[in-house]
Amino acid sequence: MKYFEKLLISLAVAMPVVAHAGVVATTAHSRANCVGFNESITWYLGHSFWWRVESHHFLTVNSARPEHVLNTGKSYTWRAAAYHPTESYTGHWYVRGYHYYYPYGNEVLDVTTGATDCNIYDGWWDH
Amino acid sequence: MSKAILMTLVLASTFSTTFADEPGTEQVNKEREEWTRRYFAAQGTAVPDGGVTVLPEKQMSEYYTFKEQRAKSRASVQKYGYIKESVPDAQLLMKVSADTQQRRLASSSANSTEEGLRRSVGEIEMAYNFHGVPAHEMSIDLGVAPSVTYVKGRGWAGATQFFEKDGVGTCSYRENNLQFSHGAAVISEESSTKDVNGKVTVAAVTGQEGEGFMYSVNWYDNHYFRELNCARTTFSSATMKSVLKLAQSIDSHG
Repeated sequence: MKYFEKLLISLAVAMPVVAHAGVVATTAHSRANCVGFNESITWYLGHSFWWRVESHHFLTVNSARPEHVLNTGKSYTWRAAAYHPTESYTGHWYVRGYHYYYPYGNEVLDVTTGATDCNIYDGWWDH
Repeated sequence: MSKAILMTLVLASTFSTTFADEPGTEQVNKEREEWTRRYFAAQGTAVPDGGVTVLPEKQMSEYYTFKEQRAKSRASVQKYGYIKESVPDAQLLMKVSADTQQRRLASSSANSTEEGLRRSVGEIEMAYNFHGVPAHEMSIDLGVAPSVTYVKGRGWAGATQFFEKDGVGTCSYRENNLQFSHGAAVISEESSTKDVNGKVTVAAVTGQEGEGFMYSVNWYDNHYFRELNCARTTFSSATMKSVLKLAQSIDSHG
């Protein structure tokens, strides 16, 4: 069973690398209750930018304040992931992502994302 | 509370709509949004749905992080007319053009979806009516890809279009619809103009001889963030003027 869980997690983590959207343009997503992790991520394969991602993790959809906040800090990267392993086994988490971009030193909150599930199939490719 | 934070909170409440797909009860969603806005405002960072704020760069929360980089860029522009820096994205953008055209020549079905590029925006489930680049501004339409984020039950909040324009180069145009992305921007007074139809505009050329140059125009209003990048092998200020003109045309079209 543990092996199966590890396999699922590995597949879920690997999915962004093979999904289409972030291969040709910058995309951002949040995922929640992914059999052991919650995350918010911005990525564009092969293209680096100054990015920062904050992921706010709420215990339930009816929590007004996050249980905790993950912050990647600013980094020049093709993939900024605020990733929290070993979380979300309860399956009730709500994740909100705030995806910041710093073109020429300006600050742009490019997009906010939200998820209550591990929505790999909701728009990650072919939509 | 600083003037900047206060202004951001006022703007945020002015442009406030419910964040995309908030799943809680109405009361919880309201409390969460309020808390979130205050949380980001207290940090002095851009607040969701906060619109576009222009500030003297010394008042920006990221002033010290990018101070050195800004000074270096300014010195470079004074000396060369552009930011002298390697920009791999320029070469990658030119490669998109070469690869796409080669693939289309090789394939009778002309289907390019295997690379994530679609022939037209009609092939993407968009959350809104994507405006894009007017057809007459493109010499070759290379395709379009989903971008920004996918809003469950609505569609993509933006897209990036790729095209060739004679005399300009290989270009990409990204449109981000704030109604679905809930974005916000804090732009420095010193780096911005109103060149694109009176909207807050940041334009720059980055590159190196022998490697290629990227001509970039980013412009912002309270409904869309738009980004136009054009790559070519050489630098000329005339090309920058053409890219700005193209940005104005795209903006007028949308």
